[in-house]
Amino acid sequence: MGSGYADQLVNGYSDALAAKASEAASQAIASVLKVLGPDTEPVFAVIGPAYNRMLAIAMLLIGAFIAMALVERMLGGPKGAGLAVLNRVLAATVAAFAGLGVVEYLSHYASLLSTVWTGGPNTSGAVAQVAAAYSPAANQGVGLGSAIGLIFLALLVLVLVTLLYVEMVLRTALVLVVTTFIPLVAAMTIWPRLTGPALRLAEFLALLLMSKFVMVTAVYVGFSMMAYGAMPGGHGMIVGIAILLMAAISPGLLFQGVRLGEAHTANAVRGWVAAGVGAAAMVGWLGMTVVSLRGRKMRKSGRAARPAKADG
Amino acid sequence: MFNALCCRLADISVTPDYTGLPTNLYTGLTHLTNNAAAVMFTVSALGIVLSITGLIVGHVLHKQYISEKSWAGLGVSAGAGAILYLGVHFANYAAGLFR
Repeated sequence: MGSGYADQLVNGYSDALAAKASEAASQAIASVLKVLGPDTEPVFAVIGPAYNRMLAIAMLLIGAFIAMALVERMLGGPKGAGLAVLNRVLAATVAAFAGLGVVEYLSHYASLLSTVWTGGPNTSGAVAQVAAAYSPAANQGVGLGSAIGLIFLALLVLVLVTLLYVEMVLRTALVLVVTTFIPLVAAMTIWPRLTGPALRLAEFLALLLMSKFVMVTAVYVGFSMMAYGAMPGGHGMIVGIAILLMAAISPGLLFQGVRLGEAHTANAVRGWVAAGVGAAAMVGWLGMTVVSLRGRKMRKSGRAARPAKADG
Repeated sequence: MFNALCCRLADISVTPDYTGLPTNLYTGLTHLTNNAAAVMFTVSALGIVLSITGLIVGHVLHKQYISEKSWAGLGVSAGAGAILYLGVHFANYAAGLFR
């Protein structure tokens, strides 16, 4: 009798805990689109003073970069710059001054793109349906067939929503930090040897701005599939976890895809360079052969002419 | 001009803040730039000497390509100082557009 009462007590507590966890997961799902909304957009006015200081540092270093580009040119290096340094200085200075404004402008458009799914009746309907699927009433005995399973799944949902939020905050911070370095990197491009970091920075910034749009789209598509029954297996928390996981890793996949593209490009460029070096070696060998043949011919004709002169 | 436009569009003004920089950083960066310019002038002087030597050697040995290379080297070496001067003025001019 004592053990039966204890079992009843444990079951009651675990059911109540499962209901609470399920409710928390439902609320977290309802707040996902808010996390991915305009609240997590970077505020560029915050970095104004830091940008101005970085701009001052860049302006102080411009002379050094011009000097280094000219030194490399005088020493015969392949990535020096002569008179072209003047164009590069103008372009770099304009980029350093206009960088913050341009990134803010682009960020507004990226934000606009990511709000395309968060408004409208379709989205709110899908979110309401998904949140209802996570409600305690809908999940009686659904989560892996036990209260412990339901608690585990609900906690996983909470962890994934937190991960999405952390990713958004990280994105915002990274956009601001990378933007602060624009003046310095722009000044570095005056020396052609240092243009690599500028290209990488621009690419990274573009990917950061795009990542939110990719995440929001992943969430929207997943929720639509779940809400309108397009997902095999019907409704349930496991499907929702898969959607959240997909949204959480989508920026990583985006970055990985671009890195793969870079590797392919690098291989292709290496191939072209190798082909160019091979062709140059072949042309050089042919040239040497022609010169040596011509030399032999001239020597032969000289020998033939000398006895004729002696005879004359 | 551009800065005024940016201010109107973005509510952020972008001007190099030299006063906010720590004094030792300001002095250090100025020193670094001056050192780079000094290295450039040293290489430039060496380049002028080598180019003139190359011109003489090319003339004496009747080697056309040595003379041509020396003329090109002399042009870059002699003009490096002027290009640096112009470059810094170009940067100041471009920065002035944003004030």
